[in-house]
Formats: sequence, structure tokens, C-alpha cells
Amino acid sequence: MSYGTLKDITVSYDGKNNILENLNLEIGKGELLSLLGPSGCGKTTTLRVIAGLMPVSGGTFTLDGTDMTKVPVHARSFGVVFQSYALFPHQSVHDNIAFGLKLRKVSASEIEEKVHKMADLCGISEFLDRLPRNLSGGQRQRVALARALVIEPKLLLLDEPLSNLDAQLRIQMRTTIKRIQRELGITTIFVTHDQEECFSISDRVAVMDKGKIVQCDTPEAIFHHPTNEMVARFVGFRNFAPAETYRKLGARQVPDGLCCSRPASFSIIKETGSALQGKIEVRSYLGNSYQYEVGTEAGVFSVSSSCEPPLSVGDKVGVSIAGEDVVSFGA
Amino acid sequence: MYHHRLLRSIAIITLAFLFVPLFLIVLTSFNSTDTISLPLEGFSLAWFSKVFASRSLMGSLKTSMLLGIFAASLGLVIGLFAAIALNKRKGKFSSFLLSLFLSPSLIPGIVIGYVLFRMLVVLLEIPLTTAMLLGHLLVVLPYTVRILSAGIRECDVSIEEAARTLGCTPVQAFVKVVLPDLQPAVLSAFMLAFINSFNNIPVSMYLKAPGMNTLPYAMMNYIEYTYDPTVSALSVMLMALTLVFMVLSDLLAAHGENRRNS
Repeated sequence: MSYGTLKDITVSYDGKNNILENLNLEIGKGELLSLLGPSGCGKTTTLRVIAGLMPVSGGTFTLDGTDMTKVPVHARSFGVVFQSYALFPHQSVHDNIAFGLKLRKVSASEIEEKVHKMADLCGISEFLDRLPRNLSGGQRQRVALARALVIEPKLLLLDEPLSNLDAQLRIQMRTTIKRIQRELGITTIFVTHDQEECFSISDRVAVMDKGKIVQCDTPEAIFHHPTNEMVARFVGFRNFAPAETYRKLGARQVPDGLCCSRPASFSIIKETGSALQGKIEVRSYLGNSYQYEVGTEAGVFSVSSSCEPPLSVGDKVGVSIAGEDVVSFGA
Repeated sequence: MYHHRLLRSIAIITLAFLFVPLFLIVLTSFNSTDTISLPLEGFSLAWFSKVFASRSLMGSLKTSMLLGIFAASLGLVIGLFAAIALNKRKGKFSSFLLSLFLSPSLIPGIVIGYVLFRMLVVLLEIPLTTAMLLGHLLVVLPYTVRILSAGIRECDVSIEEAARTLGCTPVQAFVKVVLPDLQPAVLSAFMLAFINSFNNIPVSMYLKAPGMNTLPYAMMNYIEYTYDPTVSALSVMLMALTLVFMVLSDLLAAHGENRRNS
């Protein structure tokens, strides 16, 4: 049963252009759901609607059976981690974490206990007396997370929390986030534009485009079975072509409609034989493989291959693909 | 950077033009003759003690101080609310209203003084002390609105939002989180407002009550009749005061800057 539900949410700044249009989304209790999409797709807006920082022009948001649509931000009790971390610059790490508890009139001894427990969990116990300016990016990130979690929120909302960290720290932090999320069993919504980050951390992923959710499923399903062209492109599918073309490439069973495939799914051989004949037009080096643009009578295909020695521009080759590697969107 | 002889000469001449008169005032204020003249004849602090002995100068200094403090405080409060409204709740008229708030700094002071005199004193018959305060409020408002607006725009909006998600009402969030962050802007707005009120002549000239004098006006009156270096001595004290203010305000600004950049 779903825990939180966004129903027909519409957001508009000027009453004419909708940033979100009839958006529907469900999230289960204890689940980590990601909102994934290119910049400007409305994922941060969706998060702000859930947090209560953005008024909606239409639709409802319910959580645990309660209508939250009109509940003001400060009464929602959601933990939010902002992209800039938004730590209070004039307060120590300890006071930053204790901020929400003090507002809730929690007793001093209980505040101490909870702050220390949360600081331990997030690995920042030794920095409690420091000011935010004396912390590194990763440490600030942990403080922001601890501050959001210590109020025991009903929902944890993360707005691109890793985008300001360097590559190594990102991987470390996303593991930390996942571990803490599991440990506390807290329902979490995670906004990101980074596909790898999103797939590694999420239970389910909602891919957004132009203010709408275009596909919402498990990372595996989205990676292997995108249901429309935008999602397919976003997760690395190329070679969009009608089914007839793919039949010529050897995938005889594909249903009618637009089809696509990943460059790595092709086999490329020097002898022609039964495969579709073509000529290599462009070769680019990708590190662990080469990507070839192969021109055939049915069009140009992007094919990647790690065969050694590499093929060169002008080589005559045969390309083919197996039916199960082709994704079709139907007619 | 620029090693051009002409450029350097122009720079030196400009600096000299700005600072030589100030330097001469400082020098002559310690001179023992009773005219502002060079060469110096001897060292004396007589003119400084004469300042403190003069009832008109000390009285007007007190008036100016009080007026400056009240006008700057009032301007700060109104300016803060105006800056919040203009920057946080943008509407159709925000930019027009901002220009309106800044306009008193563009209109000649003598015009503002005259208009206020006609309006407040002649038409509305408001007591002169109140009229004077309102006049000075108008003088300082552009400065407080501008500085506080800049301060608010520089604040990270998500800090306020973070406070709200943690349970603050909008007012609590502002008081607990935004205001402490705005502290350097508040202090420099107050100082600039005070200095502008303290320096103002044209508005005071129209609105001062009989027997009430602001310091700049009293100084002008004084040198009309006496040419001794008392006013030089007073000027030196005012310069020292301004210098202290400027250094303080710079230190605070630098402090705020450090905090933001980290």
C-alpha cells in the first residue's frame, strides 16, 4: 500500500505555463525513490512541492492517509537536505543539528542524547564544536543529513545532495546515505540528474521529462526495458530505427514500431556472411572499447566493440544484433 | 600595473587635491595663532578646548547626534521591512517601488528640504522637531534600503528554507537564521545612515526650529563671524570620528565576507 501519494499535481508560476502537469506519483513506506531527469524537467520542483516550499495550482498530496496539500512547511516535519547544504553559518555543528529539536521543545538532556547519537551515525562526532566554514564538503553534507534526520522526519527529501562533491566522495556518500536510510527505515525521495548515482541507490526510479513522470519502475526495469524514447536515450540506448531495419540486422522477431539498442549489443565481424554489410565511417576511442559509426544500406549505426586489433575507418564489416537486445516501443 | 608617467602625475595631483586641504586643516587646528594661517607659529590645543567650551557648538553636536541616531534607527527598521518586501515578495511594482525608495538620494537636498517644509510645516502644521526627524528619515532611507536589499539578496535562500523545514514559522526563520546572517549589512546600513543624517545641511536648514541647530549649520554660522581655527579643531574631531566609523564598518564588512566565502 502506498504511503505517500501525489495526485494530479500541477504547478505554474504565471498561470499559463505549467512546470508540472497532472503529475502522479506513489511512494511506499521505507522506500528510497529517486526522481531522475535532465535539468529543467521539474524534479526539484516536485521535491519542493512535497516539502511544502512550492505552492501547487492543483492536485493533492497525501501522506499516511492525511491530506498535506495545505499544511505549511514548518508543520510538515520532513527532513530536507539542500543542494547547497544550507547549514546555518553562525551556528556550530552541534547547534545546527539541535536546531529542529530546540524548536520542538525537547528537553536539554534529550537533545544532547539525540544529537550525539545522530552525529555518531553520520560520522561527525568529532566536529560538533566546529563552525560549518571549518568543514570540508563531505563533512558539511553529513551535518546537513544529521540535521534533517534528527527530528525523526516522516519523509527525507534530498535535493541533488551529492552534486557538489568530488567523484570519489560521491560514491562514498551515496553508500553512507543508503546505509543510514536502511538503518532508520526512513521513506526517502532523492533528486538527481546522475543516472549511475540514481540506479545504485534507489529502490525505484521515476524518470521525469518536461514536468511529467515518463516511467516509474525499478532501476533494472528502466535500464533494460525503457517504455519510451526519452527514457531509452537517457539510459544509453541509441540506433533508433523502425522494426524493418532491425529485422535486416538479424533480429527477426521484433514487433512493429520504433526500435532501439545499445551500441554494445551489436556484434561486428570482419567477414560479411549473413550479417548486414557496412563500412566503418568514424572510429572513436572510449577507453575500454572503440565506438564505430557503421554506414549500411539501412542507415548509420553506432556500434561499440573491444575487438583487438581495432578495425579502421573504411573497413568492410558485417553487423548483426540478437532479438532480445532490441527494445521496441510498439506502433 | 600602469607605469605611465602622465597617468601617475594625474593620480598624484588628484590625491593631493583631495588630501592637502584636509591635511592643512589638521595642521592649523594645532596652531597657536587665532587665524587659519601658515606658517605655524606654535603648538596649541586651545582651539580644541574652545570647541568644548562653546555652548552653540556642543548643543548642536548633541542635536545632530540624537537626530542622527533616531533617524538612522527609524530608517533601519523601515528599510529592513522595505528590503524584505521588495526582495522576497516580488510583485509587479517591486522595481518601481525600489526606485521610489532610492529617489531621495537622487533629488537635490535643497528641493527635498523645501518640499518637506511646504508639506509638513506649512500644510500639515506638524511640530518642527517631528518634521526634522521625518526629513532626515527621508535622507537616510535610500541608504538603508539599498544596503539591506543587497544584504538580503546575498543571503542563501535555502538557509531560510532549511529553517522552515526544521519547524520555524516564517517570522521565526527570519529572526533566528536570516537576521544573524544579515548583521554586517545592518551595521553598515546604520553607520552610513547616521553619517548622512549627521552631514545633512539643506533639509535641516528648512526644517530646524528656532534656537535648534544641527552641527554643520552651527559650524557655518560660526565661521561667518569668527575666523579662528575652532572649526578646524572641530573638523579634525569629526574626521577622526568618521575614520573610526569607516574602519569599523570595513572590518565588519570583511568579517561578513569571510563568513560567506567559507
